[in-house]
Formats: sequence, C-alpha cells, structure tokens
Amino acid sequence: MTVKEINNAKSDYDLTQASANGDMVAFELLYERHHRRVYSLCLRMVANATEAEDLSQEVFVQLFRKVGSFRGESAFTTWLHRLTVNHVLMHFRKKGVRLEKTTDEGEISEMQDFIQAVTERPRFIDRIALDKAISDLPPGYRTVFVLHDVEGFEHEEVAAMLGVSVGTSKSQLHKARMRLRDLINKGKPQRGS
Amino acid sequence: MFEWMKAGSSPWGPPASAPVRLFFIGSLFLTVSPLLILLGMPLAAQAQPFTRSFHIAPGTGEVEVINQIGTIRIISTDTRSDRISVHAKRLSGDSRINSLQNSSGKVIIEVGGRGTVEIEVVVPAVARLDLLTYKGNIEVSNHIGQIRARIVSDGDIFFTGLRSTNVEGHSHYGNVHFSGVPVNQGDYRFKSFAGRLDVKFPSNADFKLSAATHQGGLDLGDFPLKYDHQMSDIVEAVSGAGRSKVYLWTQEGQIRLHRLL
Amino acid sequence: MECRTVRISLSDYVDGQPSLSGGNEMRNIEDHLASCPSCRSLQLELNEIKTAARELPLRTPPRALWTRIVNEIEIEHLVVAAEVQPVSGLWAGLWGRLTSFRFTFSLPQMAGVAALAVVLITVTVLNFRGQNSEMDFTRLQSALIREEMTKKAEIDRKMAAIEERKANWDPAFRADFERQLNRIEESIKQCRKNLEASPNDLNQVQRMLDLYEEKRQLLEDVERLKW
Repeated sequence: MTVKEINNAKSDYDLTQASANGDMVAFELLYERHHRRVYSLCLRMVANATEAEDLSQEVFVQLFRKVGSFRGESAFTTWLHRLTVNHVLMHFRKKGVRLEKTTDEGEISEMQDFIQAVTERPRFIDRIALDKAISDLPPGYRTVFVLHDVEGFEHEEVAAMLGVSVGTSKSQLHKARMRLRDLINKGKPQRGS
Repeated sequence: MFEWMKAGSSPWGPPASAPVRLFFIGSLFLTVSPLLILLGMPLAAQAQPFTRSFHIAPGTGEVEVINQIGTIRIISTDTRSDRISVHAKRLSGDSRINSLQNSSGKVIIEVGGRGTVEIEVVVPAVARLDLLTYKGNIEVSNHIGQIRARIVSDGDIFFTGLRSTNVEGHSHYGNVHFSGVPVNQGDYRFKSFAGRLDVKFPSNADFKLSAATHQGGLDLGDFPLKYDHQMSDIVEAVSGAGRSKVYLWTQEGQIRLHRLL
Repeated sequence: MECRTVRISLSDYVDGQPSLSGGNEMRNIEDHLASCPSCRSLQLELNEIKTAARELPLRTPPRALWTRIVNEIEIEHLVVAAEVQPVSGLWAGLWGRLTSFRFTFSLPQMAGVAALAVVLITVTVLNFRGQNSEMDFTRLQSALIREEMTKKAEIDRKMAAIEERKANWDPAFRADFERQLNRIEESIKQCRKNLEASPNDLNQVQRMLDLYEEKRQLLEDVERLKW
C-alpha cells in the first residue's frame, strides 16, 4: 500500500461499501487505517497481548461480515469503536469476568497517601507508568477508566454499555483514578536511593 | 524523697541571680537556634526556587541543560541580550541543582538526584541549546539558534515558531511537535521510538523530506509533495525547491505532516 | 466542606460534571480547593491522569494479524460458497461473479497468482538491472555492513561502561532503562529475521542501522545523566 493511496484514498464510507462488495483491497485499507485503534482498545481493556490479538482478529472478521450494514449516519470510527467495545464486553461476559468489583481498599489507600500528596506531588505523569498501572487495575475499574478517560465515552454511554447506573460508573471511575495514582506513585524512585 | 525537694532548693546549689539566668537563656538560644535553622533548611530549600543569572557577550549564548525528572522550558528573548537566567523549582523528592559558566561562556545547568525539578531558562534567541531530560517535556518557542532537545524516556517536545536552521528533537516514548517554517538550508531531525511526530509547515514550505516509520503510519496530509521514492512506510519527497532538509523517523509511532493554517 | 467530602466529588469536579447538585456544591468545592493545598494537589493529580489517559500512544499489533484475519475470512467464504448453488453452469456462475465484482479466491489460487507475480517482477527487475547497478548495490551493501560494525563496536563499549555502574542505580530507573533497551533489541531481532528472509532488502538494513543508532543514543544519553 503506497502513501499516495493512503493520501488519495476514498472516505471510510466508500471503503465500507467497496468491502461489502468483496473488495479486499478496500478492506485492507480500512484495516490499515483503524487496526491500531482497535488493538489498543482491546489491549487496554483485557491487559493481555494474546487475548487482545485474538479479539482484534474477531472484531475485523465481524466487521467484514457487517460492513455492508454501515449506513454512514455516524462516523465510521465511532461505529467501529462501539463494535469493538461490545465485542470485548461480550468476551468478558463469556469468561465470567465480573466488572462490578467494588472494594473498600481504594478508600484505605486514599487515607494512607493523603499526607504524602502534600509533600511529594509529582508534576509529570509518566505515560508508560500509566499504561502499566492501567493493566494492573481490577477489570471493573479498568473497563470504566478505559472507556471514559482513554476512549472518551460519557458516563451515560458507559453505564448503558455495562448495564449499570450512571452513579456506579462515576464512582468506579473515581476509584480507578485513585488506584492509578497509588500505583503510579508506588512505582516512583525512592527518596535518597 | 530527696531533701532538696523538701527544702525548695536545687540539687546544684542555690538558685542563680537574674543576670546569670538571662545569660544562660541567651547562650541556650544562640546554641540551639542555628541547629534548628540547619534542620529546617532542607524543607526550606525544597520550597525555595533556584535562580541564577549569567553574563554573556551580546548576540551569543550557549546553554546545556541536563534534568532528571521534570520539564525544561526555554524563553527566548532579544537577540542582543547579554544575560542568561535560570529559574528552577524543586517540586518533589531530593535533587541537587548545579549551574556554572565555563571559560568559553557556556552555561551548564545540571540536576542530580531523583527529585522532580522544573527548569526555565531565559536566553537570547540566538543561543545554542543542548537540552536533555530523562522524563519530562521540553518546550522551545520563537528561537533562532541551534537546538538539540532529547528526552531519554517519556515526554513530549514542543517546538513552536522557530526560525532555527538546525533543530534536533528526540523522545523515546513521547511525541515531537513542530509547527513553523523550515528556513533555507535548514536541517530538521525529529525522531521518536514509540511516539508520534507531528509536523506543521506552511503549504509553500521548501524542503526535502525523508520519512520512515516501521510500524506506525504515514499521514502526509494534502502537501504538494513530489515523490522520489515511496513505500508504505518510507518516503523520500520534495516540496518546493527542497532547500531545507527534514528527517522524520519513528519505529512504532505515526508521522503526520500537515499544512499550517 | 471537609476534605473527605470534597475528595469523593473530585473526579466529578475534574470532569466538569454539572450534576454536582447545583451551583452551591461546585462553589463549596472551589472554595475548599483554594484553601486546602493537599486537596488541590490531589485535584491536579487526577486531572493529570485524565489528560495523560487521552494521550496514551496507540499500540501496534504484530503484522501477522492481518494474515490471520484474511485466512479466517477466506475460510468463512469457502464454507458459504460450498452451501450456495450455482445459478446455471460454471460460466454463468463465473460471469455472475465477475459482473457483481464478488470474487472468492481460494488460498491455492491466491498463492498461484502471487507466485506468478513474483516471477514476473523478478524477471523484469533482473532484465532492467545493468551491471553497473549490480556493482552499486554491492558497494552500498558493503558500506552499510561497515557502518553496522562501527556502531556495534561503539555500543559494546558503552554497554560495558554502563554495566559496571548499573548495580548502583535507582531500581526504578534501572528497570526503565532495561525495558527501553529490550524494546529496541526486540525490534533489531525482528529486522534480522526479516533480513534472513530477504537478504538483499536494503531498507531492512537501513532500519537495523537506525535501530542501532537509537540504542547507541540511549546509552550516550544515560551516560550524560550520570546515574
């Protein structure tokens, strides 16, 4: 695939219509444009590279089956995004992964680190540490955090996708952020070493 | 019980007179207070900003900054300025900030330790800059002199409004952002192992492009480029007469070249 | 307002949530943050996490993923094709597929087309490559190999110097450095594998040199940091 093809290529909508007619070149172009987004979302939600690859494969195969049903009413990226999220959530349900893990540990750790925050507040969030910390979150916190903060869904959408109340989505997000803060701070270099 | 307690007198003899007591209290104060001040110093130093100023010959200037964790921000001033000023703030953890000016006038600022330090350097716009931080952002704007900006781990580099002829920006995980005009005979090298290279030039920019990304994508926007060579992830192309050189490299990230509107 | 109460609502505040019951609660939080450095510090941290989350880099799956997707689609289509009866005869079916632009190639058919294309391209390239260009190619290859050896030698020297000091580094910094180094080395390994498959691919050689330079520069920068 040449750069010129990428530059001069048709819109996503045109590519979906061509793909629906069996045009594998068009479908490959769709893949080239969107595969990293799909894979990143899967990876951050399941925190396992092999699972993320399998899920990404399933998403694109499903996309090929359904691509003709894309009517262009929303942006293709939005449509593909939702397809991916729904697929991962179904995977969680099949695996029996409980997403509504509530815990009081988050409260305790808030108190312990509260005083530390006064004197040791870092000004720079290391994205590598953040990525690692996201993978260390419990599945419930991780899902809400990835959907809201990383992928940009609103609480109403997150709640609808997960089948929970907006209040639960908000409180899970808060706990996820607090837990991430703990994980990131624990990974920082120690004083005096 | 001790007898002296009953008698109301001290075991060390009769009570001292008022002048003696005053002298004793005064001596105690003079002995203890320096100790208190010394103990309090690390906390005070942490909160206090670090400020130094160096005199240079007008129209010159060379600065090397080495930070560990924290941002480096360059404020470019009048090209005829004869001063380089350093302002640093320790934000957390233990760190040592050293600054000196060597015999050829080069100002060197080095941070040691594991703490987070924010450094701002005010320099003449023509100064040569060599900036290195382990983690943190680097920001340079409206500068004319040569720039070398490197981030060893994570952090973004922001170059805006530069008129420099020689610019190097490299981050391992972070992004490099450049928006400005590539000047004639300019040499611009932007690299990131895993991050994104985001370059904005005016549509009439004059440059020769060499771009390679090995796992990311190339998005060259709607630039009027003449391609010499192109594959899916490597491009050699020219815009205009190709009077400056632009080299973009990322292993895993994306390269975006767009028109500055 | 107490710190504990404020902190529970901080994520909503950071998200600019209007649902914080009315203007009063927002104002109370703002007043508290203005006078409480620790809550303010926490608010800034949560904001930074939220901002950093939006800027997380995209991750790239292995190239083989596309092959797996194509294979699975191919298998599905073969199964579907087997269930569909042709309209009337082979040619009518073929014409029908041609006019509807619905092509279903089996893997052996695709492999055959690919092999033919490779042969055609190779013959064309060999015919058009004169002796001069063959010599240029060899010279270029030698120059690249020499450059590789020079870079490797410098890398080995710097690594040896670093190994002596690494034990005294901060453990978090050391882990970070090793992670970065491994990532570059994995990419170099991949390049080498690709080169084994296509030894004349000069782009792969250049990629490898770029990665050696990345490694060399990492070591040089770490030396300058004086850990």
